Amino acid sequence: MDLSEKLSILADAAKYDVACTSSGVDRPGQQGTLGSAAAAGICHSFTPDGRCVSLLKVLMTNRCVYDCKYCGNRRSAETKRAAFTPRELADLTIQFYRRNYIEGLFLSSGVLRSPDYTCEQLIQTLELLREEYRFRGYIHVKVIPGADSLLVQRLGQLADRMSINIEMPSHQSLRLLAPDKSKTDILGPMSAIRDGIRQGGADLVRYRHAPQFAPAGQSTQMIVGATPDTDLQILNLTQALYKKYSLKRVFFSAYVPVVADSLLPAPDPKPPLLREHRLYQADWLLRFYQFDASEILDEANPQFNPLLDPKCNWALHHMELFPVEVTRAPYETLLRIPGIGVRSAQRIRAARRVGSLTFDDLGRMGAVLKRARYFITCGGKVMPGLKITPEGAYQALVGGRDPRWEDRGEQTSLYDPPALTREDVMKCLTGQL
Amino acid sequence: MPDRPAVIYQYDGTLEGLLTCVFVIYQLRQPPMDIQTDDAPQEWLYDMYSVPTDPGQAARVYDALGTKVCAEAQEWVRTAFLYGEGGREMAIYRFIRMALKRGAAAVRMFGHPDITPIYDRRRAVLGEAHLLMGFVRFTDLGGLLAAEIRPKHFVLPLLEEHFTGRYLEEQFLIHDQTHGAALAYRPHEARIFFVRDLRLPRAGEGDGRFEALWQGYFRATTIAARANPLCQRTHCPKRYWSCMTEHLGGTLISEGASPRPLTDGADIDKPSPVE
Repeated sequence: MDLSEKLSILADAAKYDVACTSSGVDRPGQQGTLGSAAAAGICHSFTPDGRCVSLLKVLMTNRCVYDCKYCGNRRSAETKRAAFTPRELADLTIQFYRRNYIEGLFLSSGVLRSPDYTCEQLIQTLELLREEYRFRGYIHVKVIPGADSLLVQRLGQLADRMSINIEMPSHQSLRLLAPDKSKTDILGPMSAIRDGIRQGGADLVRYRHAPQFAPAGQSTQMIVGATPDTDLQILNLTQALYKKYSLKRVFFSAYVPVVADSLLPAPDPKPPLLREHRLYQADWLLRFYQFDASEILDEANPQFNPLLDPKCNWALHHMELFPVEVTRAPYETLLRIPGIGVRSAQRIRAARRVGSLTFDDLGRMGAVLKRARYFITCGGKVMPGLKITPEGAYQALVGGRDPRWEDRGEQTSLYDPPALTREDVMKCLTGQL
Repeated sequence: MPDRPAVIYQYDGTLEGLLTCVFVIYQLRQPPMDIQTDDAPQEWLYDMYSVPTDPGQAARVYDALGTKVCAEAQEWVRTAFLYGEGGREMAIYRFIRMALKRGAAAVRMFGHPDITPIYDRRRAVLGEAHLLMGFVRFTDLGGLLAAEIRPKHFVLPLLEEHFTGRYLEEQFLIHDQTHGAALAYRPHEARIFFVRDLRLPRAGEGDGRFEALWQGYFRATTIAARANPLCQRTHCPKRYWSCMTEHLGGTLISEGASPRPLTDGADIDKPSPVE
């Protein structure tokens, strides 16, 4: 089999892994080596599905001894199998990197023979890259559940970021769909990596040349929509992962049916993209907006509102906290205003120290006044000519919503947006919609 | 200064020339109607004054920004000057005037009508430079890596540090067609120079094997069920595609369904109907 066919098969098999960022580590170039890494991450291309291509995302092999029901590479699936040799893959990575196609390598694998054997193959590839080719670019490696801890330790010294996919948001779902994996198979290595990263950080304080362990941290991924788990469950788990396992990122992947199984939802060409989008919005609220999962969803409303993003939804339910005086409110409060994001909040905080602010200034700073005006006063006044009513605020947050996100995965008619009535608004807020 | 600006100043198109203009404006106490490069078309309604570049005067303005304002203000002026779509001169002049009046506070007065124009231009330049750090595509011409770009802004000075750090032991050349300039590097020496007519072999003519592999990878990693071409164009605007290997030659898979050949650069500049 030629390299091009192998690459197609193994890239195709890896494409449902969503974690393709190259962020979290800043490493300038060094004489005698190839490559560098930028903390913000760099996107090198965007595929027609709108996703960023930053790393060469491939599997070492798509042969697998496991039989996870949701996975296209499961043992019982009829698909073409291929495997890279470590040398082939290292060579390809370097050649792509030299041409600035990629920021580095994202390496995962099906389980060939045993988890330990597979892990050794990954290590060989990374050792070639790091030691023979003197590669200083970004490497993200998937940890194979069940691999020996010494092997995982070695992987961590070679890679920038490590990840283990949780895949299913609950224990029951995992047992049902991935009978060969168990919760401890996943959470065990996850805490081992966390401890490795902590230890590496502590060593670095003591010895300048202490070996670094996964300096860009660890991440994980969950499949959304393959099982009946609620958004609330997923979000609570996400928050717990950030807090208990110090993850850098949790990724969500809308379930795209690749195999039919009686345990899975019937094949439907439309993956739950809106739901995935809402989860990411909530994830941002947790990581950058100082929200707690319990503020975003609760037992009474365990699913996201399809019409409103989670922050607007929260604001509409807490109208008693608004309007906020932007010239005085603390930064944390600014972050909670719909239409004001992290950047505009930081600009407001910096600008109000050196002068007065007007609504025009806020607009030029990047605040979206169309939404924010219902929630703020500036210099003690509401926006001139505006009467703040709950209906007005709902209209501003819901009415102009682009119908593209109507859970169809693609753009529908731009005409005839449904007229919004007061009943709709009330229904929407009480969670009946 | 008289209230009504009535003079149009002209300079030679360099940052030094522009800073000399600012010096002269202060000296003459004649506020500018506009500041233009001296190849701009003549205006008849206003007095034109062509300012000869004086490095000493330019340095006095630039140093004043450093001592009376802050180093960040100098960086704003340098970066905003790379902006390629007009209005940079007046934006820089207004900023310098405000900065000399208000000191270091000026770089935090977000939203102020005299600050926003320079801030936005600077961000546009930095934004395009960041995109190009990813979108530049090199072709291996027997050991020399060569790339073409067609950016809106003159971003080569910003790309220099990134690419020289990344390919320390390589030789490479990035040719900016828009501005007729090129960044050349060989271990450990980089230079930006202006070129009239530089013709690099087009991507796809040599070095074909890895380009074909990359195009194949790009197709294979796309999920057809999630097709979202609008999102793709939002993050990677079509004007960059003409220099990107994955969008050249071969075929472009847009829906995973019928492959559509991308005509060679012809429809790239036209705005697409959905935008």
